[in-house]
Amino acid sequence: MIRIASWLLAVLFMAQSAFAAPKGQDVLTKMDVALTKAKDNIFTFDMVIQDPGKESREVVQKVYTRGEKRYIVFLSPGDIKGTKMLSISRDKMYVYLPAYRKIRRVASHARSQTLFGADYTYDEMSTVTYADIYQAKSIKETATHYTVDASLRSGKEAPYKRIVFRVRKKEMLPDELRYYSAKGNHIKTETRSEFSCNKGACSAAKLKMVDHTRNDHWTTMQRKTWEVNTGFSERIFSLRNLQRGR
Amino acid sequence: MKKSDRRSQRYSRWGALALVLAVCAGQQAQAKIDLRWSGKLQSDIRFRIGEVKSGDWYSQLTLPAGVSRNENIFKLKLEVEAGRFLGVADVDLVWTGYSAAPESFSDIFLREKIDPFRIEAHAAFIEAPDLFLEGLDLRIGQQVVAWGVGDQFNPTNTLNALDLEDPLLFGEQLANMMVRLDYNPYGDWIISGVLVPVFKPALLPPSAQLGPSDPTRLPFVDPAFKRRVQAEQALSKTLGFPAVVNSLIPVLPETSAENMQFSFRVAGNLGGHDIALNYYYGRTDIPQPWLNYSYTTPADNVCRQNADGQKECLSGITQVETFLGYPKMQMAGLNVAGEVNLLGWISDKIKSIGYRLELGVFFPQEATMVLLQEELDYGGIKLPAGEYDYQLNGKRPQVVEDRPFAKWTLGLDYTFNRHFYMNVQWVHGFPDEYGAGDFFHEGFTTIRGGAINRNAAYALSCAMADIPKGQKCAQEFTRPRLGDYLVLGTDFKFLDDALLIRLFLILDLTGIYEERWDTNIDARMRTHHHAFSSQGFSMVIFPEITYNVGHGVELSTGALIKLGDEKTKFGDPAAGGSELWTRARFSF
Repeated sequence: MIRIASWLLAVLFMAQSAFAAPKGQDVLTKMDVALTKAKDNIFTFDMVIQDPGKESREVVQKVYTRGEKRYIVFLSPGDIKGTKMLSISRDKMYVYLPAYRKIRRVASHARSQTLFGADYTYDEMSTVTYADIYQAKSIKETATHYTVDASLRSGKEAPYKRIVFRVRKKEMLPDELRYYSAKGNHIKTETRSEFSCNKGACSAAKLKMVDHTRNDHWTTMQRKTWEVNTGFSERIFSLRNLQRGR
Repeated sequence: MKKSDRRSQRYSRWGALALVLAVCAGQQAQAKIDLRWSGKLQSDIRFRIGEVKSGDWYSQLTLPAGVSRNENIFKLKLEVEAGRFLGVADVDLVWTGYSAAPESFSDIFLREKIDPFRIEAHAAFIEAPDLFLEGLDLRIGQQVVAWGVGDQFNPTNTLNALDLEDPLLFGEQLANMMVRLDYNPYGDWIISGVLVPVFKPALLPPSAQLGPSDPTRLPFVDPAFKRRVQAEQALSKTLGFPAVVNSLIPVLPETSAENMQFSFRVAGNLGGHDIALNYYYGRTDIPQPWLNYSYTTPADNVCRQNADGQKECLSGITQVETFLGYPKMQMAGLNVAGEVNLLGWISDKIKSIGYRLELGVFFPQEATMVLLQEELDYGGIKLPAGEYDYQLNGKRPQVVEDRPFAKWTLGLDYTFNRHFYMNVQWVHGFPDEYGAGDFFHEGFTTIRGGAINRNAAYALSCAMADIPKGQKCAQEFTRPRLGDYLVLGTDFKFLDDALLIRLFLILDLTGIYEERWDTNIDARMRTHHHAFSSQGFSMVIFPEITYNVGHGVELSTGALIKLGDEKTKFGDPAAGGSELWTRARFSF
């Protein structure tokens, strides 16, 4: 009788543990919440583009974010200074190239392209949240991390069919994203490090994208400044603003 | 009212407006002033591959082979932001690299003669967003309003005049003083209004003077009238008094309220497609002739042997002074851009193709031409002074019909991979083409004309006795007023986008037409030399290699090759001939 009772208690305990462990999709959802926790952000990043064995190229950019909206102004070097990118949603992006004095919508055929030879594509720069387009398939857990293997939801368009997220439990922010093609090839790896928090919102100060299809060509983004919840005008994310000063 | 009074009144109006802005800006006086600047240093050297000539032996204009441009530019762009207000100045200092021909010894002491330079103001404006009303932006000053979704070919972008001075910067426009209001009532939708107080004409390339300097390029719409003038020109030439266009004098419209230009535009997004409608009231920036003034001058019997071995002598020259104007026009424009998944059914790897449609429907004001002459004495045959007897039922000959016409650009683009991008456009109506004449409505522009026979008796009979005059002797090479062009642009990028190989092609699909009397059918006959015939083929090949050295330094080289017979669009001497070019640029 005691043995049966012990067995029942063990089953009950295991069931409770199972219910307490988060599902992969919950992790993605919580990660999205953490990624968009700040009402708005203004970052300045030094982007370094590095082809192994060759001279690196540095690009300075100022990034405004609010929710999934992003507005990026390139500040240097001189040949790209004044280039602006506005991402209102994943399928609504505009770019302003000063040499042409025109605002161009970034068509879907161009979204997998990179700006200035970097390893971040338009698609990656415009993707802020993931749970809405990726479905978690499995989850692993360690003391510090969740690892969620997610596949592209049917009917959704994105350049990667599968992403494996490694999410820090502490901030619920990803510190590694492994991107896979439709054929299952591991194409890119993005790592995020040097996490810090500002007014309750946390983010990585260093991002690195390695493109394995380009001989491990990589790009780093080092955060230089970060302002949180400044309450800047919503017009930042408008075409009016993109054409400002041109 | 005196001109100076009008000017001072205009200045005082701008002064008042500037004061209002200053008061508004004053409210932001405590705001931090943010100064941003950028610029470039650029050195540009070009070589014309071969000599380009136009005109006959007595009126020849030549663009020599060799260095055709030797230019250094220092650009500085300043942006001053105070609160939400922004001031922008963008100025180029251009050293032309050619010394002006000294007219006296004292000229070689003058820096401005030996080392001439010019200033180009591309922008000098103040921008005041959310002025008086949330979403209402005001911009005043020297600026370019770049509307239109086409790539470099923007028929609906008529507010600023074309800057065609540098063929490598095709599609550039001249900044002009404007007042621009944009209102953003909802989402992406923007309603714009622009007022341009003073008209600015297009800046044409130096080679453009080679075109109208040929007097046989008659601008008239009426083919019969054209033939008659061709025949008379042929006769005057046979008599030893060929016509020579000795000056082209543009006459700008008076600065007045009625000559102001304005435009409205509504732009937004519908179902994922960017759409814009605009209306423009103003003038064509490409000059149209409106007056010819002719007189004869003696030439002391200058003779030479012509190509046929015959002796040609000049008894005099029929000098022609042509005055050019800028007729009024209205334009209604439609712009649509987006993407369509045309080939997605083949494979899901094929993404949607980007498309752009830019359509401008033009409503031109009719323009007619006045032909005036002093008494013309062709060695005994005298034509009285006064206005030419047009024999057009009391009307003057049209050079632009008031018939509406359409110009458009339809383009597709696709990025194949990280190295290769392609853009294809069908352009109906080149930027310098104006007036009805295409497959909707027949209308031709004359490229070259003359008589088929130089015999004096024949010329006399054709010009004076033929009915209608010139019917049997006039020979013309023409093309529709609005041509069709296939424009192909490809970008190949390598070395992390540091190396750009660009190839840009423009193929004239129109060809040319030859029109003459055909004795076999006893009627005039028009022969079409199509785009792929030896006579009708015309093309621009514009290869370019740019290497981004890093830190804002770019080195470029390329060529601008214009192919085709001299009677075609791009083989025409007025197109300027082929050039090789090199450029170094440091942007900061």
